[in-house]
Amino acid sequence: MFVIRHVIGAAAAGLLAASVAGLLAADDGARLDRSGPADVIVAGFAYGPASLRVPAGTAVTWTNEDGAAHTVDAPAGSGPRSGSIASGEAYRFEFAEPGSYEYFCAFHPSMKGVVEVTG
Amino acid sequence: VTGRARTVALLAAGSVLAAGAVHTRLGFEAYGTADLVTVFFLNGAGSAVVAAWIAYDRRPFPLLAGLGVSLTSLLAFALSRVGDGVLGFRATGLDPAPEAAITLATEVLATGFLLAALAARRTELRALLGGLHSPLGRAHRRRP
Repeated sequence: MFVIRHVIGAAAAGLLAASVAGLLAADDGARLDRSGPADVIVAGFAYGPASLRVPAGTAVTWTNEDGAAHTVDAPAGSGPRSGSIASGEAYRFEFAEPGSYEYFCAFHPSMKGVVEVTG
Repeated sequence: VTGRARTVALLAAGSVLAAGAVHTRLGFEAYGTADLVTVFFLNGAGSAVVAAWIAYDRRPFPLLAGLGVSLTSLLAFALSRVGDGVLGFRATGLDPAPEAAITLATEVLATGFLLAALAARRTELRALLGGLHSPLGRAHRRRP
C-alpha cells in the first residue's frame, strides 16, 4: 500500500508538470499557430499544422492519417471543398489568389485550420 | 480506515489520474478549440493534485474533490455531444478513438470507486457534513 501511494504520487507529479507545461505552451500560442511546409497531416482529430503560410500558387496537400474520415471545407468562396477524405487518403488544393482561407471539417466542426496565402 | 477502504481509495486515485492523463494528451494533440485545450490541461493538473491528495490524505475531503472532478468531466463529455457542444466544441459518439472511450471508462470507474470509498466512510462523512445533528444522526448517537 505504501509503495502504491508513492507510485501514484510520482505519476501525479509528472502529470502535473506536463499539464502546466501544456498550459504555458497554449498561452504562448506557439503550439496552436504553426507555420511550415505546404503539407498538412490530419491526425488526432486535428490539422497539423493548423496554421500555414504559403506563397500564391502553392498546392497544399492534406493527408488523413486518422481512422475516421474528415473534410477540408472553406465556409464559402474560392477555398477548398474536399468532400469526404477517407482514412489514408489525401486531398490537394492549389491556392492561386492571396488571402486568408479558413477551413474546417464538416464531420467534426471543432477541427479548424487556416491557410494564409501571400502575394 | 480499513485496508479494503484504503485499497478502493487508491484505485479511485489511479482512475482519476488516468483520466487526467488522457485529457492532457488530447491537449498536446490540440484536439478541440483553444479554450477546450486549456480546459484539458487544467483537468490534467487538477486530476494530478486530487489523485495525490487521495493517495496521501485519508480523510473524506479528497474523495469529495475527486468526485467533483469526475462528475464535472462526465457532464462535459455529455454536453460536448449534444446541441451546440461545450466551449465551441462538439464531438460525436466515441470520437476521438480510443481516447473518448478510455476517458469515459476511467471517469465511470473513478466515480464508482470514489462512491464506494465514501460509502466505506459514511459515518465519518456524516459527521463531517453535520449529520450528527440530523434525526438520523441523533438516532445513531442514542445507540449504546
